[in-house]
Amino acid sequence: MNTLLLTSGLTKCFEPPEKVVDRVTFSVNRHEIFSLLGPSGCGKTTTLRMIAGFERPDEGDVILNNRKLTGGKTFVEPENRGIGFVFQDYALFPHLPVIRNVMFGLKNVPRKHREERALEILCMMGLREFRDRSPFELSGGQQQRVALARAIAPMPELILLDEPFSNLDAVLRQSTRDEIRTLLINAGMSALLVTHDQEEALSFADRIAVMNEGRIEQIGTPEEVYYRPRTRFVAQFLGTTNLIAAEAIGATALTEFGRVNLDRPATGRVTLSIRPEHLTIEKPEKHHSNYLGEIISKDFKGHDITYRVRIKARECLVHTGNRVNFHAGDRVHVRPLETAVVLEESNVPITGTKVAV
Amino acid sequence: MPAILVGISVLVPLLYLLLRAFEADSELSMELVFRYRNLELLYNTLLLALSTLLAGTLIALPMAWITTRSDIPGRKILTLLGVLPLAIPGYVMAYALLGFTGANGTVAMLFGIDLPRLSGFSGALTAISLYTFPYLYLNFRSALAGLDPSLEEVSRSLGYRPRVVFFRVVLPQLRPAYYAGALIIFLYVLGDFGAVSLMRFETFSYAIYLQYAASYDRVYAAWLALMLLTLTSTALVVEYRLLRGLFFHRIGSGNEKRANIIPLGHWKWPAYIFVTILVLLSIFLPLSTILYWMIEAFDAGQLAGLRQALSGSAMASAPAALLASALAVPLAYIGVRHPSRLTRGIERIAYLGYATPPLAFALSLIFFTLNAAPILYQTLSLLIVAYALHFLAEAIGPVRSSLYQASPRLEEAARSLGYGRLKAFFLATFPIMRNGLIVSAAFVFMSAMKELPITFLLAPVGYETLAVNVWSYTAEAMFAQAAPYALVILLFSTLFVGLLFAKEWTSR
Repeated sequence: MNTLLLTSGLTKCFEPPEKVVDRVTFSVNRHEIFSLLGPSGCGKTTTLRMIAGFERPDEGDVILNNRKLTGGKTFVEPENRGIGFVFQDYALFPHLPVIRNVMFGLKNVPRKHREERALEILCMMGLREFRDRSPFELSGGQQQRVALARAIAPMPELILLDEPFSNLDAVLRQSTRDEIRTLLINAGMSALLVTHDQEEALSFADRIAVMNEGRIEQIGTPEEVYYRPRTRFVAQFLGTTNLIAAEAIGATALTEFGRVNLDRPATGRVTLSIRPEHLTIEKPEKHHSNYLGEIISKDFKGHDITYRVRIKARECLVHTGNRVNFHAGDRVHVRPLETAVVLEESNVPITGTKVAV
Repeated sequence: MPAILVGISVLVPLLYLLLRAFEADSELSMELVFRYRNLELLYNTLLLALSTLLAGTLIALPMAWITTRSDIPGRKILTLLGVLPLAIPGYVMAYALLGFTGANGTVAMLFGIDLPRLSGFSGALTAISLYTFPYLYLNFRSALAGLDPSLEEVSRSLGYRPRVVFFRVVLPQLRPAYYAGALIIFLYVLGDFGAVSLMRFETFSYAIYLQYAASYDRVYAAWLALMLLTLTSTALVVEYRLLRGLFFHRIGSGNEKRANIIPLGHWKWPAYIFVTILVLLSIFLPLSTILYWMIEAFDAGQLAGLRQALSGSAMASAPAALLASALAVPLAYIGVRHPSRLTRGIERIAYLGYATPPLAFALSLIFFTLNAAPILYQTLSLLIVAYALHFLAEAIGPVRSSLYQASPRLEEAARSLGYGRLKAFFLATFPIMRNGLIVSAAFVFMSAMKELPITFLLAPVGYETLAVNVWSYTAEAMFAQAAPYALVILLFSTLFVGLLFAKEWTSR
């Protein structure tokens, strides 16, 4: 098999009975970049630290390369796991210059080759001229790259990254992210990234696990989790969505704006998720008279427009291109462009079309 | 593990103190406990402690206000002058007072005026107050500087005059600082041996010494030590009670403003006179007395003795400093990295060793070694261990704050790069702690150099240190012989204060 890392049933309580991590199971393939995505406090960092061996899980196994690292009576100390870790605050050794920081992990390389090897990595990262600087004298982005260089240098098969881009400003974040993704792919390593930034997870990872309150709610490619969220939490956490209570009959359901197609057959009360960009608005025609809406506000953002439309005392958001031009107060018809996604766990009553921003 | 060992080594000797005290049959014990003399000692001790506190407050509060809130020129130098008396240990102060007054004192020799010799209560009070008021001063100063000036402005806008504001708004906020400083002074007076013995004022500490050294009545000495310990713990409990719930943080956000400076106008002159008198008494008097006696009767033959005492002090203090900082590392480490009730408790024990009056502590160590390890009795090693345990609290502070600078992530990073637990600590955390370790070793070294009562009881027979020599020469009114030792002690304790001050200065 192609699996590099496997965690199964990882569970951790700091203050019983509240489980910070609750039966977390997922796998990371070789050469894959995998992301744990979730709001702060959802247990993603604890999961990462259990994989690294900094925390002991109460239950569950961690298996790397078919070797059990944690589970039952087995517990491999962090230093014997061969897993790289990049910390949120980088944790560069302040008393060592950049080159010595990178050399730090090269203890299995013969002494005379260490510097050479560290320099190679620094060059690859474009940090060559900083080799003798102290970590204090580097910018946030440079520190970030040194931290990664230090983790990569011993060539571990897996690198864990804990919110590594959150300390960078927006401009730097995008470029650093791209660079590092390329570096990881070129080095043939697998990476497990923890983040609360959905955009980061979507653009950085090959696959994403969305975590909430200690549990994984969905695992999939960025497209899968975005287009076909399994639960209401996933739908709301990944971007903006319209949550709609509807009556489903087989492949379609009846909603405020008429009959919509469903992504899978269902019956009875369901909660649907439709992304604002999967809706459009049109001039009403005669047969629409039952489903007329009114534009409440218009938010022009250049290449697209966000409309807030009220239909039968409920509101929904619609993203359109800038050619679709209406004004506040216009009476319009809202038309879905894609199938609506049926969410699980619809036993919770929905009071209105909830808009998550 | 090492942390628990430290805890045990502080607690077990104290247990022996109990054992020794209860060795006496119950009838004798009752007699010893309910002696009238004990009441006398209690009265003397409390009288001295409270008077010192009062005197210290009367000196420190105006001094702190002048140096933080007034526009008096030269505030930085004045601040230094307010701290410098810390460099003159109580027994050196007592030496100076004794050498200054009296029929053969400096004043009589130079001007022919026969000042009555200070002794007893007034002598002890003067010597200890002049030495200890900086503890209160430092606390008052930082509290005054940290007060939120808006509170005062609000009170003014609500119609209160500045003087009323000071008493109704400023003073109440100084309470936590005052209690903390007062506790230090109180504990110091309880533990002081040098000044009270030279001034011949009988407090518990002095009585313990007399019992032990003069009449060899160890059971009564143990009882006295226990009473002193009870007094100490009462002080600690009272302090804890008073401080509970007293947290005066700034409430609400807003820019931090600097305290308002109040122009003194003509009040400048009384302020200067106050400071001048204080400096004359607390710094100039001891320094000039020591120098006078040095010049008056300098004898090159003394140098050999001085060298011997210096090396005696250093040979005990240097290993003690190393030992204390080494012990401080695991204690601070568990306290910072694994905070819990247990680890906090273990850390507290280190402070217990510090708060225990030195004579009681030394006495308990004597009983312990005589019973458990007689080979150690009267050895240099025992003295070193005693210093280290007693001054451990001084070592923990700097080690702990340096540990806070080393993020636990650093050690984790080292472990993820393949280093074991211990190695990760030494490679990643230790280098960052190094400065803190040096500072704490320096603190302990300089404290031990001037330590008197522990040395007195625990040093091997005939072992000479600077402090012991100052004390014994002064006790026999041989002021000229004592002078060079006092001067060297001043040198070391000035370094100590300099270090304290440098830390305080850089941390703001």
